Amino acid sequence: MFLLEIIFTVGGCALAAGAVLILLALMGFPPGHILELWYRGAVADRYALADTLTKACPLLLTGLAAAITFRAGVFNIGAQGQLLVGAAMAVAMSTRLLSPHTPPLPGITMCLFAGAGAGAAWGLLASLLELWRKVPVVLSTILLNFTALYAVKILLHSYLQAHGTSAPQSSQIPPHFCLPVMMKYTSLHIGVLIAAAVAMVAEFVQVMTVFGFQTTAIGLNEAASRLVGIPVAARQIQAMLIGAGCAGLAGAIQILGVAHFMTAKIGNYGYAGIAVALLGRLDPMGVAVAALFFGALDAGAQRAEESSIGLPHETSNIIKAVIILAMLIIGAWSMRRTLRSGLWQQRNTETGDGA
Amino acid sequence: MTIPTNSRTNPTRQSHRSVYPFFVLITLAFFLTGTPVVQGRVFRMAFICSGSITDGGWNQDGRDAAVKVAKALHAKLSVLEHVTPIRATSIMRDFCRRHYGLIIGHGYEFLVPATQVARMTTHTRFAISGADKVEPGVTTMNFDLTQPSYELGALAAMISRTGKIGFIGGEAIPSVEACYKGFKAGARAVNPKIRVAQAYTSWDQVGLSKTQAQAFIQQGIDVIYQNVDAASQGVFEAVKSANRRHPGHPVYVFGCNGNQNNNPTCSRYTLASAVIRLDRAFMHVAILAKAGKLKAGVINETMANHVCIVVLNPKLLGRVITPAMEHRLVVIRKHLLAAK
Repeated sequence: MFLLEIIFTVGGCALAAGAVLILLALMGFPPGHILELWYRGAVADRYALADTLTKACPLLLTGLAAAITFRAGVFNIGAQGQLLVGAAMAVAMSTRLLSPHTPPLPGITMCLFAGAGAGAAWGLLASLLELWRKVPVVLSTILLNFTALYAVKILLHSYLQAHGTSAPQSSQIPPHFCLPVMMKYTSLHIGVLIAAAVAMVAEFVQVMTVFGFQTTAIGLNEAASRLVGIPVAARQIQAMLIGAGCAGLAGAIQILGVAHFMTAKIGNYGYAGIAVALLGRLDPMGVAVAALFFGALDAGAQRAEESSIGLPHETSNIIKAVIILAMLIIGAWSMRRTLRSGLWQQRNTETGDGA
Repeated sequence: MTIPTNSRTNPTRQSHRSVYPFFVLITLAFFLTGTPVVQGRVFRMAFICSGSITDGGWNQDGRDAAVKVAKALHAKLSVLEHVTPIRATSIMRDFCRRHYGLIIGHGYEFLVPATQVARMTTHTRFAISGADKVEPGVTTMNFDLTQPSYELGALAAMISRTGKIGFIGGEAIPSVEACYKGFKAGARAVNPKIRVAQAYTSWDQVGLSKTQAQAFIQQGIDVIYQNVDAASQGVFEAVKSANRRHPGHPVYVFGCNGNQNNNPTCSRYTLASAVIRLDRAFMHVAILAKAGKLKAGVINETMANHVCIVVLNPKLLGRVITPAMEHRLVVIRKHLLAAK
């Protein structure tokens, strides 16, 4: 089974690479050279790997935000809004609410918790709307994304705006509130370790706890879960709180670790997180691998774009999309095989034929 | 409640096993791979912008100027488009590590990232266009379009039959607001009773800028000054369709940042453009950076040093822009330059 998975993964990569090579050749770019640049930008040396890890960090957290909620049958499309709110809260804490004399460790901790808390509160709005007014979470979270974006824009023109400029951007985060960088000339900050720890905790909760089992059961069959006495609404709200908190934490980490100031153009990590979650099969460890894969794609694309070939940004986005599609197709294929094989083995065990 | 942990019947558990070697591989790769050696002594320049380099405006002009400068100085140029301010910090750090001599951040939004990265390097110079703040380690190029906008405002007031003119900006940022202020002041200098409307839409949403321009035209506005980059296409289309519907009541438009007088949509109704000659500005900073003499501070690029200028549409000279108007504009320009 393990060997089959590896064959499928390698096959997926080969299929994706083949599709990309054909696409690049059709567009008139030298495919071999572009793939080499992509490799150099993503994994060729320590700096490239650091870049990949840094880019994977917010994707891991927003991927977890989508995965945790999707598993519980809550279609949270609002990670982007939750990320924005989390980022804005982290900026508000570090530049406005906390005293500049606050020591670094408690200061950073409070900023991160505030970001996660704000994201969770923003997600809770969607859950409460569903609970009290039957507003579908899909709809409310999409709309809350826009609400968050414009609310943040208003804040960046008023309360959070940097002094001495009319530009819609925040002040710089005081240096002692920024996440420490682990490697010179890179943005590899300790937020990457925090994100990895969150993924491990999520994995533990999902596999080893009653809560994880119940949320998975709800996602697979809500009606059956209700029949066996699982508190569906409560678990779904809890899953939303955790997932949205992850997205808020992603925003806070991006601000404290990479940007150190804020504009409304924070990047579409929330939306990309949905693709990461699906590619990772809604499993925290799978999400971590998918986030690394997306991070590598981003880092490699950057190197291909800035080269003398001048690969257009749109083309690199098309290539990324083709690769992700190929991986999703192979992933779904492999998943179906695994499930079919599992069911077959289970049937054999029940009838006494297997094992 | 018992939890099923049988890995044979639980596909999720099976998938976990297959991902662990992947993490081990990544960790090993991180510690085993070396650090790349930067070779060669060629002068390296990077140009980063937040929009598309095919926007037909600010970003495209910037890229074209950077290419021209790199060619003239025999420099290696790297161009990155669609860079968000959040990404800019790590991108700039990466360029510093690879010993780039000059990084041009094309927009005020790159000022803070450049300031942060400038602290950790001595060999890379940073030039930020469209910013007017003094920050340590960063050279800012303040393209002051106030004076050209003043001139366009004066021309708009001379042309307008309804006494209503409008300004559409991509975003309410200092450089764009300066255009509006200059435009309004110029128009009021010619016609104190003129009404000047303003609106801010988007840099890249063509539909939004078209709708705004149509709304302006319905209000009786007959001269529109736009500074919306890629979205300018929407304004041009609105002007074109208005002129097709009511040929007796012409509506005119101004270009901005680049020379948009020859835009394919409505060049017959584009009176003039407020142009930033980015190649001149970039060449100046690149020569200084290459010689290691580029100092931190603000470089004011104005009408006086011929970087920010007005280019009248030659197709409309004598027909719509009469010699009398042209003469009056020359006088206004002289006054502006004398007043500084």
